[in-house]
Amino acid sequence: MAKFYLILLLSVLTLSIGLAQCAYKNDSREVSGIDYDIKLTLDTKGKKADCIQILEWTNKSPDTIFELRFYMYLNAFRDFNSTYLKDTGGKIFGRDIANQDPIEWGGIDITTIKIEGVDHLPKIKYIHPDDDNEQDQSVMSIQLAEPILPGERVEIEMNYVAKIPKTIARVGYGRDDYYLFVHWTPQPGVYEQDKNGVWGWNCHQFFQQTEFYAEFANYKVELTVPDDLVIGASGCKTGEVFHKNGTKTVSYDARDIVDFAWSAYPHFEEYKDTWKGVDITMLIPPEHCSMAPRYLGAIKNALDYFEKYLGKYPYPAITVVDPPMHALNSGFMEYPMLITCASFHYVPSGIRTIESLAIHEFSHQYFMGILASNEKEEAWLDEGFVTFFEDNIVDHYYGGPKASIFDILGYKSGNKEQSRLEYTSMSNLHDGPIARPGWEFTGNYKELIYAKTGTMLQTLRGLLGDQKMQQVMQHYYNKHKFTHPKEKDWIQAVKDIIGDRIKTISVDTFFHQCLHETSYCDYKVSEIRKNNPTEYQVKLERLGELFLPQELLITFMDGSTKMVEWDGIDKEKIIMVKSALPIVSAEIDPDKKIYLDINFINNSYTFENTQRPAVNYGLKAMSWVQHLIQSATFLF
Amino acid sequence: MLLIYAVLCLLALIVGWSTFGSLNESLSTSMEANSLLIGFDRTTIFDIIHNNKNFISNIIGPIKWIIFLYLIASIFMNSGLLVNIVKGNNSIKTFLQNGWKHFLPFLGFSLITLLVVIVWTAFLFVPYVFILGNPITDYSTELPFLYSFFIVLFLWIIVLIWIFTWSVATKVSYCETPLFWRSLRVGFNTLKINIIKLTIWGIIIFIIHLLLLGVNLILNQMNSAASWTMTILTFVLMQVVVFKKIGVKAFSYSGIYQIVKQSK
Repeated sequence: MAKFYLILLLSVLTLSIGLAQCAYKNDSREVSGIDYDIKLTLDTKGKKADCIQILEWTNKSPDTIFELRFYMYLNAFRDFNSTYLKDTGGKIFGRDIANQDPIEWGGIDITTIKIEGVDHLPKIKYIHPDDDNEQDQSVMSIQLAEPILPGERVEIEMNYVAKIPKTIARVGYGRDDYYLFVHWTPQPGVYEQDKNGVWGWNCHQFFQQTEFYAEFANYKVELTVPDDLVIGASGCKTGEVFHKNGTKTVSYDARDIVDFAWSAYPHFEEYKDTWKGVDITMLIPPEHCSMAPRYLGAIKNALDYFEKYLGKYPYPAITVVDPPMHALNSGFMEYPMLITCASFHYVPSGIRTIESLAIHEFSHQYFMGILASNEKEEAWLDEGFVTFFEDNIVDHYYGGPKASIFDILGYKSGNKEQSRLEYTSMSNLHDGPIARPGWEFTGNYKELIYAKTGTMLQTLRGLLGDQKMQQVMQHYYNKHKFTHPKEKDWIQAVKDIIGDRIKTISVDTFFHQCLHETSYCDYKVSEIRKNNPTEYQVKLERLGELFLPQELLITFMDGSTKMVEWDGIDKEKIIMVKSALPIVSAEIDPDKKIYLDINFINNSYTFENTQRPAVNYGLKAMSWVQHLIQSATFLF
Repeated sequence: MLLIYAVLCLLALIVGWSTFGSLNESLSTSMEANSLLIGFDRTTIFDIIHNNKNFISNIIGPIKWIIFLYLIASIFMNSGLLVNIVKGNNSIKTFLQNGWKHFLPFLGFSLITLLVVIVWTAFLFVPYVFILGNPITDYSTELPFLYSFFIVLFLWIIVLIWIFTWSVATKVSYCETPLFWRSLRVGFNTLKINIIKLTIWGIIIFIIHLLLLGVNLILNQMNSAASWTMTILTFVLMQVVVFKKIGVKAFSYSGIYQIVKQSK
């Protein structure tokens, strides 16, 4: 019966194809200074694409520009000389690439390049601004024949062949003509002011630990591909023409996005639905089709949450790509208006990693897509914020804070608590600060960039309260949407709403400790001592270096309570309490506002503890051991 | 059966006690103990684990010795139990006498059985892993991997059932004619002659076994420390399941013995 309902639901979703109308409301380009017009012809045998690209680029700076810089990401997969691959030892993301076939490598080969009609092919050179690897070709520099004046717009025409590698790190082709085409275009870097206000190119090389950073742009893309391929892409589909030679040309229009991605696979099943005018397309291989309702629910929940909490989703569509198992390396990734997830033939409903991942990647539409911070230099500004929203959304819509991501066979976990535990389970909590470029990380990237930052934001929410936190987030979003906010912009947005202080600590100190130091937070109630019949002392300790304002809840014999505030700065603090009633317990941070605290066990001290949980778990352990060893005897 | 249960309880109590001790030590003065009153709390459990590095080793440490001790004890008890079934005797005295008398040969049978189990497992899974290749990259979908895994798992269980029944038939034979190698041969021949009946019987026992594990899992989920009554009630029910499981083992011996007897 459940299968019947599933088929019915999927049929309804599929039938709604005709209802979906992805379209921009008007013809105007909103914020972008770049326009791409790309015509791509896919060569499925050679796993490459012949591209004709006309790029209009506007100099939005006050500088006269003599050099253009472009990302050439696919060149990272050209050979082992690239900065991306040189230290892999031939293995990357579980793939042995040391002896792979020539066709499995990637790269971009430019055949012509004209700027304002003038040939610039001889003026191309590859530079390495971040390391001393002269072989790396992930950044291309073009010395201009004629400088570009402030406000001037130039036309750059390129012909090139984009060879995509066998699925590796977010991009590539897979078996049976599966493709995820991302970063296949020569893409200009961002010409912007640095920390000191000096204008220049921000166009870093491609490192394993870094993602992307690009300028907002409008895209008109025509993809000519075999007509059996089912395609999904950033933007809105504007046309589809079938040719007699067994190919088709599919056109897309996308505006104000920082990247354009597309995926194709003949076996994709396409499911469509809409939510408040946003078209949702899901491309799912047949063996994963039972996941369609789960993806759809997750995306709708995320759209709903963001609209209420931050702002309405500004794009007309979102496409979810669920890669087949053999192309799993192209999953887990976010692109504007297109995300890639990952699933399996069957995943029990109590394991909600499917939903959690879809919500995570969708959240990037806001943090990376709309607030297009620099993922290379300040990855925490997107991944950390996304983790914060993922935690909140999953906990809100699925099973609550203690059972949202896992609720299976008695094992339960909330998404938010999972993020905190990812951070607190680091073997070395002092392993480097959060705020540093991605290429400086040698480990614990996810733990710090995602989990610790997400937990830091939960702590900020705890200290500010839900309402203020929402105001801060909304202000940050509205002030910086469709720009490239940096750490200082975020901190300023916080200050704009709450002023310079968070209770007893300055906003700057809070973020400096959390982002630029390697300190951790751990407070302890170490003792309650009775000095005389009417006087008690409660001893508090700060075990970590990070200090935050604290609340101490003291509970007396008759159930009455007293809340004491402490700035949390001293390493030790004695709180004297005068009371005729005996103290029963003292608990620091009783509402767990300071979610960064690495140990909640030592946050309280009580005289009235129950041994029931310990007894209960002891008896449970006993029963399971009995089962285990009794089962084992069947093997004798 | 009561004796087997008592030994099982005593050994498992060591783990139960160390779990209680470790938790009690970690939570003795902490109000986080309250978070475990209504069930599992991942934050609390993992905060304990992260901040008390010996927590897991204190619990896991004794388990390996307990399994070893119980397996040795179970050989003694199983021989007593099986001889009582074969001889139609229910007295504790003969149980202990026969347990002692047959301990060494039964230990030998058990070690041979264990060796066969290991060889079979390696024989099946090592080539499977090599033939399978990389389940992520070598197939168009995960379905071949998934289905082949279930088929291999089914095969593995079926042969384990045969090994188990061969082991019991061997021991039955030894109870009647105490000749070690002959018993192994007779056990094998008995399995060959009664393979369908014994397979069906083994599958029934396996399913009952799984059902009991399922019941235990449900009881675990129902279990909470909300009150002493709840704690004790669910523990008692879980112990009933454990006792039933011992009964299933005796039941399986008895069934195999009946099949063997009928075939003569």
